[in-house]
Amino acid sequence: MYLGDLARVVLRAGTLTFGGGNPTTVALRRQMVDERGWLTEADVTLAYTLSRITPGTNLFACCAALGYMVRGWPGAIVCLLIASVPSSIITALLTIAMGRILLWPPATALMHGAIAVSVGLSLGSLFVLAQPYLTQGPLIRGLCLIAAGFGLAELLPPIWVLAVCAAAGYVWSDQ
Amino acid sequence: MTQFLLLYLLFLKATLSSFSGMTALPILREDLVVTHRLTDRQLNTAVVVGRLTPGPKGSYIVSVGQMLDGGRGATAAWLALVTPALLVLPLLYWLGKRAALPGVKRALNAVMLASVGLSLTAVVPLARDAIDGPVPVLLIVASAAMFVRSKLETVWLIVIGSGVMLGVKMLN
Repeated sequence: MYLGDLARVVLRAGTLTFGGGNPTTVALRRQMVDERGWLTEADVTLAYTLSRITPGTNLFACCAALGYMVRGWPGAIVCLLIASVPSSIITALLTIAMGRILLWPPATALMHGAIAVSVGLSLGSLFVLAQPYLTQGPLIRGLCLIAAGFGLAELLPPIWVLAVCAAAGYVWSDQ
Repeated sequence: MTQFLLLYLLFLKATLSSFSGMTALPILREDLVVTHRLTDRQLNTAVVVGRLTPGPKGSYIVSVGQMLDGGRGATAAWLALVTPALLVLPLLYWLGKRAALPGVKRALNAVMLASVGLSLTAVVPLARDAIDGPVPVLLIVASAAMFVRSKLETVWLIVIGSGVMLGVKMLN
């Protein structure tokens, strides 16, 4: 497998996937695990979970980790650049055009529709990410609910919620 | 060069002290809106741009950089977004060797699901903004189902959803 193949996969997922980091992670998983067999489900879980406890944008950390698993340091750098540069250019260009776009009457309706779909994509991707783990013990499912509850109540910073859940998962076996 | 470095450090402070793109927002607001370098309206526009573009929602930081100092600001913001991502590699090196241990595996699975739970809470305010009638609800449900069941590129779902919403607005 060449770096070019890896770059193509990340470019496609990074520039054609809307809805945030989770749908992009799912798109990468579908390509790297289901379609090409470069990585296992456990590898993607490891990359995703570590990206959540890394400061900054989770998706870019996840891409760096996936790239490292596939092709070492060159893979990590290529994945990080390919995932971030095109989407950042699109963002900068849209920012420049935004003033004019907002003057165009149908723009509000189009953006409203895009944001609604974006919410749906986020929800769908969360289901896909959680699905393999929902059949496991009640502790795991309980942790998910607790995390959601704490997040909603904003009682703890997210990193503390994750730390508590990790500690609970480490010491508590459902078997 | 000094301006670039200052902007990079300002954005890096925000990205390094947050664990997802959107949690950097209050830090940026304090550094930029409170100091009158950016308005709340501009910051909100940047967040909307981040939601409308592919990739992470946290890319709104690039939009903020573009507003502050054009291409130079956008480049500084991009660099600040990708720099912390490399911190995952030492973690991967250290934890990767231990990932098969039962306790570590359980901890990773717990963090995985807890992350999903936390992400779910991040979707709530977005959904609140998007839902103002039955059509957005239908779009949310349909796009979620399509994402789970099909491998259609999400860009097409965005195009279809925007078209549907425009059609409904025109009919009204």
